[in-house]
Amino acid sequence: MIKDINYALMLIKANKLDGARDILEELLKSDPQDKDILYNLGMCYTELDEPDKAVKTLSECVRCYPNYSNAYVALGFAHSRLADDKKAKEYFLRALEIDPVNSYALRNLGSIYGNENDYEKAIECFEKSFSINQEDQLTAYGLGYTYYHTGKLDKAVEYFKIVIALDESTKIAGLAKNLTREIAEINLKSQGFRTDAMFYCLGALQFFDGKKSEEIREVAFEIGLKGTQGLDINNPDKKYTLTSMLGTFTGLQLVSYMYVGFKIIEPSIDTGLDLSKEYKEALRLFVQESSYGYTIH
Amino acid sequence: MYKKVLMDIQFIDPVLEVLEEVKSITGKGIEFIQKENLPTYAALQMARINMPSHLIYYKKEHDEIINHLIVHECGHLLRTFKCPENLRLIPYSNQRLKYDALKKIENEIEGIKKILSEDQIAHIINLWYDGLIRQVTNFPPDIMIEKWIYNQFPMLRSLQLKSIKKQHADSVSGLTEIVRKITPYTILFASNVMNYAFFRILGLHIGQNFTRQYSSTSYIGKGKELAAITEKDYINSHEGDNIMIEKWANYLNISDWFKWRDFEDVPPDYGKETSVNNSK
Repeated sequence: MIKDINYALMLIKANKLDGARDILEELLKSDPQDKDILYNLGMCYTELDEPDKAVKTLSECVRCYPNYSNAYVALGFAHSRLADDKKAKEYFLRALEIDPVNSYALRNLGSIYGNENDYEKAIECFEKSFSINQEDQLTAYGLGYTYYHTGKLDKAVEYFKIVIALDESTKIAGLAKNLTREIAEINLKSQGFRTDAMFYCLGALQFFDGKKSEEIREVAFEIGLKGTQGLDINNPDKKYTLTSMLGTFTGLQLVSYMYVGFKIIEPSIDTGLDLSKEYKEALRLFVQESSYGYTIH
Repeated sequence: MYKKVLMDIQFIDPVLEVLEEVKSITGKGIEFIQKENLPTYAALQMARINMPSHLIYYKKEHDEIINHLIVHECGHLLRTFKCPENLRLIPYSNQRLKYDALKKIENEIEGIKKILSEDQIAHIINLWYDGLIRQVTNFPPDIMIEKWIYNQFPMLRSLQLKSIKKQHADSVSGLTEIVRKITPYTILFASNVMNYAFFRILGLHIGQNFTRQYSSTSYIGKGKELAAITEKDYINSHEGDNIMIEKWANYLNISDWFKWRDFEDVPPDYGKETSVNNSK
């Protein structure tokens, strides 16, 4: 087997941790006190769900290198995997004593405070961590998630948007998208029955009336795709355009069209927003209009 | 067993041996597929866990050098599959990495707008980027494979020389004034430095002078350094290839133009004639 720490680091970056672990274990045999080997091997053990081995390896790392701030963060993280938040917190705080701007220590400490429902301290840590490292998707998510729990939904959405913008392909971005949709739903429903949404649904029923299902599908899916980037349904001044439908539209108008579109072509699809009452009322008016020639302007 | 004549390819002796070795080492055979719109001489798709065989695409119109090209692609297969599965990596890029990379040379691209229209630039921008990524991620293992072919298969040497000369002729076009004018400097410089290193190493190994055309260019200094880096401590394996690719990318300052991922982590349509790796 290749004995090269650079290759182990490449494997870690590619998330091939078992391969990295195998190389690092081999390297450790010939160099049992090497800082980088101990640190990275410890991290691999934690991620590979071997936290006991991680604690042992990282404890050796901090014993040999007592001023290595990141090793304390890693050791704390291994303890949190063992559900020992008390020890984890001690090590994160120790890391911050050595390096007060260690963004990883701040992020992990923020998570511990979050677990303890101390949201104020959690936000303080996450904010500080994010101000140091604005590329850290996990910290941005931590902020969004904590703001979500404290009911500051606008702030939560702000950070979830950052999470998605940093790298849309990650699992964490998927979680951010889901929570953004949940917040949109909460915002929508907090206002009770949305007459504006009902009229948009009615407009959609009229627009789709007589159209082929492929045409409806095209519009609905285009809006759905746009929705993954985040549609602002609470700001009527913000306008969007589609390639499948002429004109400019508000966010609420688009989700209403999407909702109606899917109700027509794929009623079982969950669009993520519940406009059932508004749709039902719109449908009632639409049927009336068809029967009696009643038109709403 | 492979037939001596497969479809319209006439295999010469060592090729059949190598194909058998591929089957023995990788556990899968090779399917040969004729493909006309191939941008390269031949192209390989290595079988992933759910694929029944490796795929080699080739053009119908080819000459005898196809034998060398097939052995070359087999070299990639053997190097990759001799590596334990949990250590196998492949380089990849995506729109985000491409955007970030091209953003860094925005000024250079802007400069070319005096010569090319925006449409023309948009058309060739992918060629620049993909070409450079292909070079940096293929040349190090290509060097080792060509050395292996030269050392192990004397019967292929004449075809190998013909094949490398063809590649060399394509490469030196990067030294022309017109290419210089329409290619961003960062890309042109990195590409020519790699070409120099590649042909210097191979030329010295097989007793040819491929670097004459570079004699009065600015690529020699860096090219020689890169060749020296390559010749020093190259670990002759898939893992060694990847380490050397990283060294090349770092040396050329393009290490963030691509990333690494699990060998098995390929798009769902991989193996369906869409993406082709390790093309030559």
